[in-house]
Amino acid sequence: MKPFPESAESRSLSSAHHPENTQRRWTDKDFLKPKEPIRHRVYLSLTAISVSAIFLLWMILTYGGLVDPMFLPSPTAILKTGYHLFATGEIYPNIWTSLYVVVVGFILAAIIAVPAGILMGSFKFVEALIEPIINFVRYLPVSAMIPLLILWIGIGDVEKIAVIFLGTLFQLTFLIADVSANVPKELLQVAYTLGARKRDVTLRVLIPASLPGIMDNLRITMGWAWTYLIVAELVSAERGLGYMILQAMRGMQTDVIFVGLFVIGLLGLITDQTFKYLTIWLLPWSEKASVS
Amino acid sequence: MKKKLIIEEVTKRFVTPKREEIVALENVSAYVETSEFVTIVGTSGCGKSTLLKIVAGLERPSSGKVLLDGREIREPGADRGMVFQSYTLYPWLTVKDNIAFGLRLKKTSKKEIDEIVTYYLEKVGLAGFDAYYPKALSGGMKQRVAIARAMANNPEILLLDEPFGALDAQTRVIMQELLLQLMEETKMTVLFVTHDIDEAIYLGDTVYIMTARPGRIKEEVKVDVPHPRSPDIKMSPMFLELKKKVVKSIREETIKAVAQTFGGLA
Repeated sequence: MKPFPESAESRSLSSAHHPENTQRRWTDKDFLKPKEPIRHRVYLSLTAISVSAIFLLWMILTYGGLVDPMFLPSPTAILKTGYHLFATGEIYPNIWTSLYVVVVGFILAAIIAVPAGILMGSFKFVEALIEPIINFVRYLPVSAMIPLLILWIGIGDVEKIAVIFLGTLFQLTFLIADVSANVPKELLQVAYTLGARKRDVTLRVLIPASLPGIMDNLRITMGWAWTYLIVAELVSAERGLGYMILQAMRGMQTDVIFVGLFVIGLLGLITDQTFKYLTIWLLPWSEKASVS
Repeated sequence: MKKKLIIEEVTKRFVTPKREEIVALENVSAYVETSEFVTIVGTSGCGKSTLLKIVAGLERPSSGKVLLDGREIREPGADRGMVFQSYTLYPWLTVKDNIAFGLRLKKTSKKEIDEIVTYYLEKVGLAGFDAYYPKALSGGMKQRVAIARAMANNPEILLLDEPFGALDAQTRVIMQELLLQLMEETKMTVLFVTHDIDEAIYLGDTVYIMTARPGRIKEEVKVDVPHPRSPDIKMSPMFLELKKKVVKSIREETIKAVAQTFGGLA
């Protein structure tokens, strides 16, 4: 991949180490050397090879009649079912329900976790108050709490929102506390020597310095939120992608299960990319905002 | 000349998590005259950075005091600008906004901020870099902006804690010349901490040599080399004579420090 020019120094550093790399061919066994860059074209071809190998295997197994379509449907069968589910609109209520639950649960958790995490990482008295509790609760798998939540709240969307909320809240608080605790102390000290008061230091230094790490951790926890959602929907639901998959299992519709899995994967990928571009757009100054 | 900054019998003790008491500084007394450039040189771990942080008000002495213009220092303030060894530019602010950070806190007018920023950017050789984010700058450029940021606040004294320690040798020499020239022009009062002997003598009007832990002032060396100083003076017999003296003094301390670290093993 083309290195993104960050600074004159980093450029001269890397070229000083490997002045001849760009001209070399990968055939001279450099690819066996750890951490050596390879050419972009080679990189892409390797990816293409691995992806098409999986497809090829899949096609041989299904079109060749080597496995029962009940266990593994062919690509065309899945495409047909997918087309049908979207064309008739059958799948949309499931997608909307899942999306709605994930987004609402996650946003609620973030609204509390971000400020709580910043406070916990920066102020020892807040840490003393909430860290022991969070450290206990965050090791409780949220799936173990689902029965309790069903007892308390029922099996509607609110219960699922609660699962997402509880599943991400404590992890996110802990991760963000770590981000704010790792803001270099010198960044705060220099502000004091420029005449800043405690309030200025928190608002003008601590919070902006934590933002890239916060974005990073939101992105990671969002992935977990999808997992929790599907678990919650598998246990009890009336709508949603997890529900759709479970119903398909009962009806032996393996193709529908696969469509469900692809849609979940695709939605996960879209949310992940959304966070990536949000970082580039909102935090263009961050080291993480380099397009790669 | 008037004594601008007076460090009076400053002692600093730490208690480690293992409950051992460490004396970082012991009865340190020193002073900086108005418009004087004072350097403190010592081996790593001798407490010189701690001393500078006490002057900045970021740490409190266990006993003794520091006076700036006769007033005792109790907390950090805009009258003592500081430049650190690590890069402390705010990555979310452009070069211009970094330099304007202190000015905005003082509610300086927009027009004045523009003028001051342009003036100091030009002074540190970065005219036209206003809109860059720190991530696009090299280490040397970052420290230029950090110096401009500290100076833009117009402090009574400038405190520098090994500001060129992370730079490569060539860049460091260029930065020393730039800083010296800036201080000769602006007549700012400077307290500069370093472990680099050449740097301490080349920049300093007075060089304080510190002992290994506990940090004490071992010797005070006046550098009677007139300003403006060209980099060529580093080759002059006078400079080399001074250097020989400082090197010898520091060497004794380094050996002592190593012996301390390894205890009876050394």
